[in-house]
Amino acid sequence: MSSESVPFGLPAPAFATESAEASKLFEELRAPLLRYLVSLGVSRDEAPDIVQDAFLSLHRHVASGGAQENIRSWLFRVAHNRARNRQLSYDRLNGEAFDVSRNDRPDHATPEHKLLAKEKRQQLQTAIQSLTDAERECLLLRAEGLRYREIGEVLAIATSTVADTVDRAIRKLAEKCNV
Amino acid sequence: MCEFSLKLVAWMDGELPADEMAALDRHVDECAECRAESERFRAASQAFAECVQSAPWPNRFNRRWLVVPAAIAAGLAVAFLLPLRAHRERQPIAATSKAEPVEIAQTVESRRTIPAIATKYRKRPVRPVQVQTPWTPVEPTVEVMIPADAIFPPGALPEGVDFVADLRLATNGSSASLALRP
Repeated sequence: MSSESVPFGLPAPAFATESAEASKLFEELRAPLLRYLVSLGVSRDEAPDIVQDAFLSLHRHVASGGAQENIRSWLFRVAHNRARNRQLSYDRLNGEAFDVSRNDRPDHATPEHKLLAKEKRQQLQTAIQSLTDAERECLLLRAEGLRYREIGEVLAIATSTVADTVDRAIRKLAEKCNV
Repeated sequence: MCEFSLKLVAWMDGELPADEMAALDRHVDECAECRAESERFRAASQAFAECVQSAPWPNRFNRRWLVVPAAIAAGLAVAFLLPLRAHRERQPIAATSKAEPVEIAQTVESRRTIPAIATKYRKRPVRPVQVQTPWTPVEPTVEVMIPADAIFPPGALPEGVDFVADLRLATNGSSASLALRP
């Protein structure tokens, strides 16, 4: 790599000294981000690219003196927008991403139990399909442990709207799953 | 329907103000209807979360993707240390030695096929040329340790192997060369 310039601009010193924290952040959020993207319908080939892209954007954001608060929602927002920008088909959502049959337990269960479990899975599938995009996104982010405020930041909606959307979505699931 | 029912989901998520949380805590203890409803919501929420969390594959990327943050961290460390190194390097680069004046005529004289040109240049001394002495560091100024994991795939090298990067900077601040050694 002789005569090549170093491919990184000068970062904010605070972030450089906290590069261990950057690694920790990556470790902590990589899997949730991948899960979220796949659940949105991003293919398993594309999802790692988007996650890597989001972390590189974070590096540039911090290096250029951007705010370092709410990094988690910042990353989810970037990943979410990248996924949207790729004109993803949300139709795939209930195919690969929400293939609830993967929850099959290895089975020492009786045929009756298996049948019951299968029915429940189908109910869940139907219930998830009945959710709107916004409801599904809110629940996905909530399932990854984001607070309502953070979900609002990711989806660019008010916290009170998140609360209403989550409430509505949970009621729909509860009703359709017959739980 | 109980009037508190509308706040049950936010209560489950701990998203209400402290006073409302306390009020709901007390109410759900006493109200069987809300208790049952909150259990239904919790079960639905749990079923959804299990469905999302059960995606088995992201962990397969664990080791491979460790390289990325390590590389970013190493890059950040190098970039952060650049100003220090650039400052220290100015002095050695400025140290130049004057070469002895060279009579180009000596070279030209050998070109016997063009004597006219040789005559023209014979008496013309060449201006002294300043030759930059290549700077060789006596000892490393700054050492940056890069974990082997940042460069090689996991498992390619035994654990605990580190590299030292010998980084030379050009006058414009870019890296003139970068060599790694164990």
